[in-house]
Amino acid sequence: MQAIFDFVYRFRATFLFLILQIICFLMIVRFNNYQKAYFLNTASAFSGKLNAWANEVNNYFHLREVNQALSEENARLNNELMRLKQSHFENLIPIRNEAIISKYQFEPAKVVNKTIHKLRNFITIEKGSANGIQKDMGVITSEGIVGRVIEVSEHYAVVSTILHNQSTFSVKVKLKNLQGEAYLSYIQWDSRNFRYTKLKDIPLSIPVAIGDTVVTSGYNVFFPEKIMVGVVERINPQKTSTFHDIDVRLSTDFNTLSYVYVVKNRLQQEQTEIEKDTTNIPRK
Amino acid sequence: MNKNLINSIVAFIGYFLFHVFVARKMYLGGVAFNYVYVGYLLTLNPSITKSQSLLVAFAMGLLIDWFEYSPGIHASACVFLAFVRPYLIGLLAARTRVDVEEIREISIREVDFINFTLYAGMLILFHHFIVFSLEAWTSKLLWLTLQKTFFSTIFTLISVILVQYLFFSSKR
Repeated sequence: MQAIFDFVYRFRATFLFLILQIICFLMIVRFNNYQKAYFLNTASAFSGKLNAWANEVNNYFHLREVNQALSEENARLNNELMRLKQSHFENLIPIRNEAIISKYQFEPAKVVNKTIHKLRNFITIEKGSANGIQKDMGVITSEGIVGRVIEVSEHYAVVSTILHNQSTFSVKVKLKNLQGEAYLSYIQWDSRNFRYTKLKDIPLSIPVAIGDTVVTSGYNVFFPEKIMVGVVERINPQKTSTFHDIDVRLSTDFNTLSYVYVVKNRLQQEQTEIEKDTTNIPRK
Repeated sequence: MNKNLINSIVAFIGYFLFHVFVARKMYLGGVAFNYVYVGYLLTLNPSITKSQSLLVAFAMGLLIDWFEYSPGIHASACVFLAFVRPYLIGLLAARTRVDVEEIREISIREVDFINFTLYAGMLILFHHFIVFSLEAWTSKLLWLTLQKTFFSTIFTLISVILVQYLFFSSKR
């Protein structure tokens, strides 16, 4: 017995090394499996505060771009408002279901931390459960989609972006060659360039053209339908696969991203629950 | 000893805050990242025990991970760095033809520029390779991992040397 203790004591540093490595390894594996910031909650108060300060410092160098983006968005929203005001009086559509009319609400939030050059990129926003933010809410900007909320604390939330090499998002491609017919597909980032993503699962028989727009499909609960994702920029020649290899230029500029909207889907819980029930049907 | 401990804690906080406020926002071309905080682990006083340096490295790694959205990756690389560091200090002693005990601190003014660069370069290379391959997780991204490792090692190494000249050269 004494010999064992002596042995452990003599190689205590090596044992400590092994134990620490095992702890790290478990964290990494869990992180990789569940694709979320498990254990090290970046949304917590301390890191959130520090991130906000760091962002404050950084913001001074980007005031011009932020102003530019905000004023552009203002102009766009103004236009939209005018258009809606007009059309409202021109053709009043009798929709009776109040719940569906106001199904989505948009909560503006400031980005306090982000990564764009990693294989899995996240952003932290300065809105949390105190503002009604919950897990699995979609996040968009005026230009396009950003990602979905994965961790929430009181005043901060972490968003897993579409720049993530293991996440997929359901989209539709509007095919110019087929008079705007939509083809259902999904996007998955290839972790190379934050300006592009890959469009997957489109057979060679589908006539995709450069310039086709890609929008959200509305088949997941995170995003409303027809939110812009990007435009088909390159269709790479394919020899071995029966699917297209398509590069989509993202409409969201992650480099200058500083304000986002969190999508609150009031019927999200209802939809998730009713869909969950269908997976429990025993197979025959 | 007490003064050393306080210095060390101040340096720990300094490197950490520098990473959070400045270094993590410095990336060049999407392949060169700046993990200058590694400089703290490289220049830890050689007299501390191996277990102590492993724990310090683990703590530093976890803190960095917290801000990099990557649980365990930096911690693992830092712990590995702390584990192999004594062997490289041994090599350093052999190159400068002194006993290991005679190296009181690891800095450019103690060992010379070439030795420091070799020592730091090798450890940073190990560290970065672990970080980027754990991040990639699959061998599909091997080429990208190697590119990132190479360019980031150079970037970090230059930063670590600059820190040496800025903060640790005027004393004595």
